[in-house]
Amino acid sequence: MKQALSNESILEMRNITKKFPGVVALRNVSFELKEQEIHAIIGENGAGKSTLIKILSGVYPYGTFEGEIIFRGEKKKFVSPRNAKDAGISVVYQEMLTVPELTVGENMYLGDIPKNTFRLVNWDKLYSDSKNLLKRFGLEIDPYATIKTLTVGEQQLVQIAKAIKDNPVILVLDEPTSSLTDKEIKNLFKLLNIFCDHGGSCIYISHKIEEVKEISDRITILRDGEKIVTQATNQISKSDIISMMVGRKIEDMYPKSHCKIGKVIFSVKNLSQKQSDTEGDKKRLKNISFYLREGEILGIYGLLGSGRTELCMAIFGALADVISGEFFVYGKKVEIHSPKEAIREGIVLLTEDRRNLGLIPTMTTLHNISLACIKQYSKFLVINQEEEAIDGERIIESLRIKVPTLQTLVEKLSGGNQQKVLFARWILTKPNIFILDEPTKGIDIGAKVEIFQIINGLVARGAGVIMISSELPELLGVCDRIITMSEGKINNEFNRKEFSAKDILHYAMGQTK
Amino acid sequence: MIGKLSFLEARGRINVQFFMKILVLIVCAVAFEIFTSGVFLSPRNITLLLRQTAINGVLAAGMVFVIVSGNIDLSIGSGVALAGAVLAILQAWHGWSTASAVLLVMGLGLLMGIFNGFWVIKGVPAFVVTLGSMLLLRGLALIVTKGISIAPLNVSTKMIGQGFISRIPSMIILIAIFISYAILWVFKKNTKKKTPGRKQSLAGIVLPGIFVLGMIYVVYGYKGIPIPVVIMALVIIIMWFVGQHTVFGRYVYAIGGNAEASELSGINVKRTTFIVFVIMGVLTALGGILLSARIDGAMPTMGYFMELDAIAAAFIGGCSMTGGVGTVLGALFGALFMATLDNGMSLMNISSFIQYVVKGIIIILAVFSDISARGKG
Repeated sequence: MKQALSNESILEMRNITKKFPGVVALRNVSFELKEQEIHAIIGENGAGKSTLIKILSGVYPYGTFEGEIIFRGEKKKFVSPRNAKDAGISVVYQEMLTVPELTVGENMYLGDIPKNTFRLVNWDKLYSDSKNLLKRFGLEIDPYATIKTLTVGEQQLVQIAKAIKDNPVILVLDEPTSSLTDKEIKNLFKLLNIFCDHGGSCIYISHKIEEVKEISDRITILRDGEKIVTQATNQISKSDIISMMVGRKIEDMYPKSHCKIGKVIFSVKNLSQKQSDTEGDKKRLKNISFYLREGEILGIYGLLGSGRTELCMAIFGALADVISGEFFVYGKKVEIHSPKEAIREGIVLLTEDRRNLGLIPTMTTLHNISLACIKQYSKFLVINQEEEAIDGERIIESLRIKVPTLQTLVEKLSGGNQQKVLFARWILTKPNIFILDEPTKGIDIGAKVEIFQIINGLVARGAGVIMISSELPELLGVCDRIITMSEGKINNEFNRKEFSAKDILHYAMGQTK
Repeated sequence: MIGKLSFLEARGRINVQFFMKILVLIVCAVAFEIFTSGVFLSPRNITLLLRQTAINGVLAAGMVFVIVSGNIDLSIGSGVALAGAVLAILQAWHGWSTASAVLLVMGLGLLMGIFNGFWVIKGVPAFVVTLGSMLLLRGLALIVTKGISIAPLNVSTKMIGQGFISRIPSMIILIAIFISYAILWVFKKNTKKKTPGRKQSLAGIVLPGIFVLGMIYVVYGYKGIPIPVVIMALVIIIMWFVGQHTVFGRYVYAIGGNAEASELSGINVKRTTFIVFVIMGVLTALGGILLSARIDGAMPTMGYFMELDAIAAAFIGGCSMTGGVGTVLGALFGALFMATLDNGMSLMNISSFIQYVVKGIIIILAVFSDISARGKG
């Protein structure tokens, strides 16, 4: 943190309101950034942080939101990301935007490749420049290395270095540390301080309070699309931040129904993943065994890359070629070689990646809902569409999916409703074992509570739920038991009475007993 | 007007885009009628136009499934040539009967489909696989025919391409179809009320009524219904039913919309894709039989560009290049539209050079209007 803050404001966003169909993402939010300042925006998922940044960076062009942006004293109307970037606003998004097959150096100079007298690529300059740049930022990365061989954290740092190289006026980092190690975070902070000392300003988006306390000069807290407060970091305590971020009691956010936990309905023994060529040793599943009981919500907590998504896919039969191990449903050994067979055994998977691995965007809401169980409504492979529609209508009502008609394309629904559509798809197959991979990802808070209620409804009917989430409070709130995963292994198990955020995090980070 | 239509669409009554397309077709037809001083809409010309549409209609019905599933089939022009050639050879050189020759050629179509489907599910892009089989099948057609024309076919085989159902039976068939449709419509109207969402308007019975009256006029005014048109109608109805009312059809739309999500929903994507290509292969053979029967023989060079006609019909009918979107009825419309342009411009004595230019522009405009309408929605 720097001592003296300049009082010149470089950016002002005034009274920003952004509406999506069915949701107000931002309501009358104002935000100010000063010169050489590191200004943190903190809030839970769905608080509106990313929306605010997308407005600033022109992803949501001028005219699609209300309010104005004043940058260096001038009113700006950005219509595209290019537009904002040319003006000096550089954003590093959470998602990777590298070209995996190119080298580090090529990626760093993509869009700005140095040329020689013959207008051809000046490879020497490209690599010596990128080498210097990496060194300046204290990164021990070979510029000749192919990007995909780097760890996710290193890739993230390369991206940030790339953004700083262009000397932006404002650097925006969206959850930059989600996949970084402690050492890499230190490095990043050093880098940011150098950047700001040389006159840059930084917007730092995160939901990690510790980090924000350490790096930022001021903090703006968003909740449910509204600004709660902007304050100097040293004048606000950690507990204040938390209470303002959450704004409601934990019990309200995570409704927990205590239903009777019965016998074991599903177990996994010695699940291992064979080494594949494309991925490193880190993502391999190693010798995993666990069980799930009737009426139980079992949480699996692990950091990015701990193998939790692979575990889901493996159980669901989507990795059948590369795994070994045994599955037992109600004590009976079952063979699962494909999702189809998993569904037949009553196991379903709600994938983390709703867009790419869940929804069929070209189909209607009804057809998305009935997709996995369409054979139930058919005789001799001819669909009884009346029955299909009646059941669809019923489940839409019971899950309270907000949709104009059954024929509405699923694409047009909000994130929360899309997620409910996928819940509906699986519930109609009448499964006993639900695997939920990040079921509340990208959903606003109101809908989250409804999702938890749906999950409670599942266990109340005697199903078992395996829930994966990267938000620990969520798991602490709804689970009966949590197992921690690190580097493809399960390393500890906690019953609800023993829940402690600190301990669970400790094991998820890879420490052992 | 569009606003009002969208309102109707929201209530599930009609599909605005489809309605607009029909309107364009009607406008074209009226324009041609005027420019040809009454020749275009004469019963004789309409009959010939429908017959002209038949082969492309059959192929386009299969192509819709291929495109909806997210694939493409470039080999069907060559497939038509090979199938037609084999039919002609069996009859002209070896004296096979109509039934056995037709059956064998359909089996050949099955094999062509299996070949394409096999490689596609092995992971080779459909574009590449069918580009390969386009050359391969054309080569085979040249080999089996030794590069020469073959004629004639059996008289009964020839009837498949040239025959008519005579006037009175044709009219009886048309009226029977309409009556059974009307009964079904009334029956549905009475039960549908219980289920939410869809409502039925009177247009559902009036428009088909007008259509059937028109057809009766056409049938009465010339020789009856051409047999290829009957075959096309059967293919269209079956494929429409498969697409809209069967589990398989639903799966085809699903895998075209998002293959990975479909697999994770328990759909066997490979098997579904394979079957789509097999169906296309069989319909290709049928197209070959129709073509060969119509020209009473076979040339190794026939069927050129037929795959592109079928693809164009599918796209004009609303298929999306990326898969998941498109209907058999849309493709039928596309095929009819292209035949209308061909036929109308030929009647007007427009040179075939200019016809190419016009058709090219029309294809682009049709798809553009579809895309921009979809974008707004």
